[in-house]
This record gives sequence, C-alpha cells and structure tokens, in this order.
Amino acid sequence: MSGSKLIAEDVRVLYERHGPALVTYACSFLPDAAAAEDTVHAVFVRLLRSEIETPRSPASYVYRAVRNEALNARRSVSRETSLAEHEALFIHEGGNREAALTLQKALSELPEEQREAVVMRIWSGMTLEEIADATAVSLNTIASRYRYALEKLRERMRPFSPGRGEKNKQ
Amino acid sequence: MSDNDPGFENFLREFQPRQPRALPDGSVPRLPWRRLAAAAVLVISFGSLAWFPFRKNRIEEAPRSIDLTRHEEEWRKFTLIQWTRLAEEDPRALDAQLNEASRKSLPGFNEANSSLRALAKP
Repeated sequence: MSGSKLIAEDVRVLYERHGPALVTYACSFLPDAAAAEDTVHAVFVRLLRSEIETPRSPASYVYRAVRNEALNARRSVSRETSLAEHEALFIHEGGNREAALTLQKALSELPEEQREAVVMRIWSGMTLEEIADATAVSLNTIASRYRYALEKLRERMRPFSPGRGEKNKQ
Repeated sequence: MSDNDPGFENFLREFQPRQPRALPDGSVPRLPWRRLAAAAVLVISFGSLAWFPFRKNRIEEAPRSIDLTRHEEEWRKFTLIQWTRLAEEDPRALDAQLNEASRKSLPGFNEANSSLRALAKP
C-alpha cells in the first residue's frame, strides 16, 4: 500500500477494527472514558479530513497518534491518570458484569507500558512485532511486558477464568 | 508469548471494550478549499469563454471614425473661387461656413458616435 493515500474508507475500517481498543488504551492516559473517546474520535476525524500516505502499519500509526493526542490532552487537564473505576469500559459477552469490572480494575493497576501491550495484543489483535513498532521499543521488551501483564491479569481474574473459579458464569 | 496461555487470552477476548460513537458521515468536507478552487476555476473559464466573443462583437459594432469621405465631398463642393468670393462678399458667412466644415472634418467628441468616443471605448 506504500505510495497510496489513506482514504476515508480505510479510516473507517481502522476505526471499526481498533476504535474500541483504542478507547481502552487512551483510558491509560486520561482520567475518564469520555475524554478517552473524545481523544480517539479527534484523531480519526483528523485522519478523515486529511490525506496522508498510507503508513506501513496503519494500526501502529493510529496507536501512536492516539497516544500523542492523549498525552497532550492529559497535560491540559493535568489530572491523575487511571482507568476510570466507575465507568464500564468492558462488556462481558456472557453478561458477567462483576468480571468486567474486575478486569477493568486489574488493567488500571498494571504499569502503563504493560497495559499498553496487553490492550494492543488482546483487543486490537496486533502482533508483538506491530506493538514493538508502534511503541518504538524492542520486540523482547514488548514480549516481557506482555508476559508480565498476562500473569498479573491471570491472577486477578482467576475466580472468573474457565474451570478455575466458582464465579465463572460460562 | 501468546502461546503461554491461549486459553486465558481467549477468555480475555470475551470482554469487549465499549464501542465509541460513530465517526461523522462521509459527507464531512475534506479539504473544502479544493472544491472552492475548482468552482472558481470553472467560473473563470466559462466567464472568459462567454466574455471574449461578446467583447469581439462590441469591437466590431463600435462606430468607426467619422466618415471622412462624405465630409471631404461636402468640403470640396466649394471651389477655391467660391471661397474667395465668399470671403470678399460676406466674411461672416465664410466664418460660419468654415466653422461648419471644421465641425464635420475635425474629430468631434460631443456626439455619441464621435471619433474620440469610439477611441475611448475598450
């Protein structure tokens, strides 16, 4: 796709594919989900209104753009960064709201770079190579961050994991 | 690292992040100045196409300079002898005749189709 333009249809496909995960990702930097959604929205609207060369990895590009936008927004609001605890960021397909809130809290307690890696991998479907490219760190570092993040989440989500806890509603 | 515990990764994927609001409609103006510029070019192009033939017609229709041939004939209907006789018998009539002749022979600028007006038109 090199040399071609990122057209509106490409932007919409990107938004459908990565928009939800990007909002979760932006929540890593911003005080509430509404601000995170505004940030993601602003990035994609700007993409719709401009013509840029199609990046080598569009997903990496939008993650970087959202990160920069969120950091700028965070400077302007200058509030403590944490995943909002009272707003539901996740919906469990089995309707387990308690598990969804637990996951949300567990994510908020992860170090920012680990949270970034797990959101990109799990909810945006990016490969570890793409994540390394998007965050400009080495593949080994990303792999370590991801592994540590999964270990912590596994521990926190143990009561809800399949076959591992009595609270699982599957 | 995803091969550490694919079961747990799939479990995490059961949780879907909330959907952000939809992007604006595709009719959102992308670089509206381009459309404006294109419209301006069209207007100028069609305007020029329409204006040049009109201007050409105006030039062709513009009155030419005074019909000198006709005035020269009027002037010449008096012979030199007649002019001399008129000067001797009635100098005022001679002056009046010369004035009349000069009005027709020299470029006028009072009339609508005078030479100066014709020259002044674009």
